Amino acid sequence: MKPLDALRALGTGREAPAEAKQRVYGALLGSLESAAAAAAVAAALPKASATLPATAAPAVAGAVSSKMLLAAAGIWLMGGATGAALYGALGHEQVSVVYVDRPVAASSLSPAVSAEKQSAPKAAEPDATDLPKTNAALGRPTVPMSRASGDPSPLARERALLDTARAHAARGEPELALARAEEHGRLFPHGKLSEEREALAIRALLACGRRSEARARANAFRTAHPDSFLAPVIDSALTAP
Amino acid sequence: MGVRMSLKREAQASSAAPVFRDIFETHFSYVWNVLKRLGVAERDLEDLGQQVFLQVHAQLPIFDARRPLRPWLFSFAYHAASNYRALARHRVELSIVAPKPADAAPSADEQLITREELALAELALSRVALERRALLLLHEIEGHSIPEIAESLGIPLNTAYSRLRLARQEYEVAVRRLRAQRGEP
Repeated sequence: MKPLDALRALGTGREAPAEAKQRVYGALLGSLESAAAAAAVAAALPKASATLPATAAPAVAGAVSSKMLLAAAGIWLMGGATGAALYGALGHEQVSVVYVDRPVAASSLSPAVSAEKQSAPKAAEPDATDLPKTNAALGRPTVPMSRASGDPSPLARERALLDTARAHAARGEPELALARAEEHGRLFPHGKLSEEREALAIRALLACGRRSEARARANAFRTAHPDSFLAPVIDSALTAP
Repeated sequence: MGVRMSLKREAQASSAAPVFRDIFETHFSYVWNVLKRLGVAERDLEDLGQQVFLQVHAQLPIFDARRPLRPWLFSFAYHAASNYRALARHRVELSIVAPKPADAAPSADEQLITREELALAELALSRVALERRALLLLHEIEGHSIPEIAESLGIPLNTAYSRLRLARQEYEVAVRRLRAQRGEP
C-alpha cells in the first residue's frame, strides 16, 4: 500500500468531546454577550461619565469588567457601528478586545492572531458544571483579566498606551487617541501591538476627518500585514459613511 | 472591500448569530481535529477552539457564502495553530507527542488499511512541517482543490502547488523512517 493511501483514509477525525464543545460554546457566548452588553452600556453613558466606566459596569453589565467595557466602548464608538449593525460590528471588533485583555507572553507574534491566549492561565475558566447556562445568562467574560504582577513588561506598557488611546477614542477625543497611538509608534516602532496601533490610528484619523491620511496608512498597513485579522476592521472603517 | 461589502455586512448583521451557531454546531469537531493535527496540545484545544470561533464570528459577516466553508474555517485554525507553535517554541514543554492511534477516524477503507497503518499515517503527518501539513490535510484528506486552498490560506497558487509536492515528499520520508524504526521493510 502506498503511504498516501493511508493518509487519505484518515478522514477528518472523530467527533470532539461533547463536554469540550459545550464548554467552548458557553465560553463563546459569554465573551460575545459581555462585549455586546458592555457596548450597550457605553453607548448609553453620557460623554462625561464615560470616563468612569468602572462604576457603571457592575450595575448594568454585571460581570463585565471595567477594562473590557472600556475597550468595548472604544470599539463601539470608533467603529461607528449603529443600531442593527451593532452585533455584527462588535463581532468584528470582538477579536481585538480579546487581544487587548489577554495576558500576553513574550513572543514575536503579531497581536492580530493572538496566540498569547494559549499561555493564559486556565484558572479563570468557568467550571464545566455551571456551563453553559449560567455563563450565557451572566454574560460572563471568558477572557481572563489577570495581569502579571511586578514591573510592567514592555508588552504591558505597549498595551497600557494603546488602552489609553482607545479610551480617548471612546470619549470622542480622536486627536488624543491619535497622539497616544503615535506615541506608541515612537516608543515601540516594531512593537508586538503595532498592528493594533495602526488600526487604532487609522480609525482615529478617520474620526478626525483626515481621510486621505487614513487611506494612505491603511494601504501601508495592508502591504506590511497582508494577512492581518485586523484588515477587515480597517476596511470597514474606511468604507463606513 | 467596497461599499457593497459594507452593506452586505450590515444586512447580515442581524442574522449573524444563528448562522454562527449552526457553523459552530456542525463544524466544531472539524476545527477541533484540525487544531489537533496541526500540533495543538490536548490541554490547549478548548482555548484555541474558542479563539478560532471568536474570529470566525468576527469575520462571518464578510465571508463569501459561495465559497466552501471548511477551507475558510481551516485558515483560522491554521493561523491560530501557527502562532501557537511559534509561541510554544519559547516554552520548553512542547514536545512532539505522537497522536494516539485511536485518533485515526474509522472509515470505509478500514478493512483494507489496518489501524496500525492509520496510526503510522497520523504520526508521519505530524512530522511534516506545519505549512506543508496544511496542504496534506486540505488536499489529500479533505479533497479541496489547490486553487481553493491557495485562496483560503492567502498564498500564491504556485506556492500551494510546491508546498503540496514537498509535503508529499516529506510525508513519505517520514513514513519510511518510522517504518525503519519499527524494523519494517
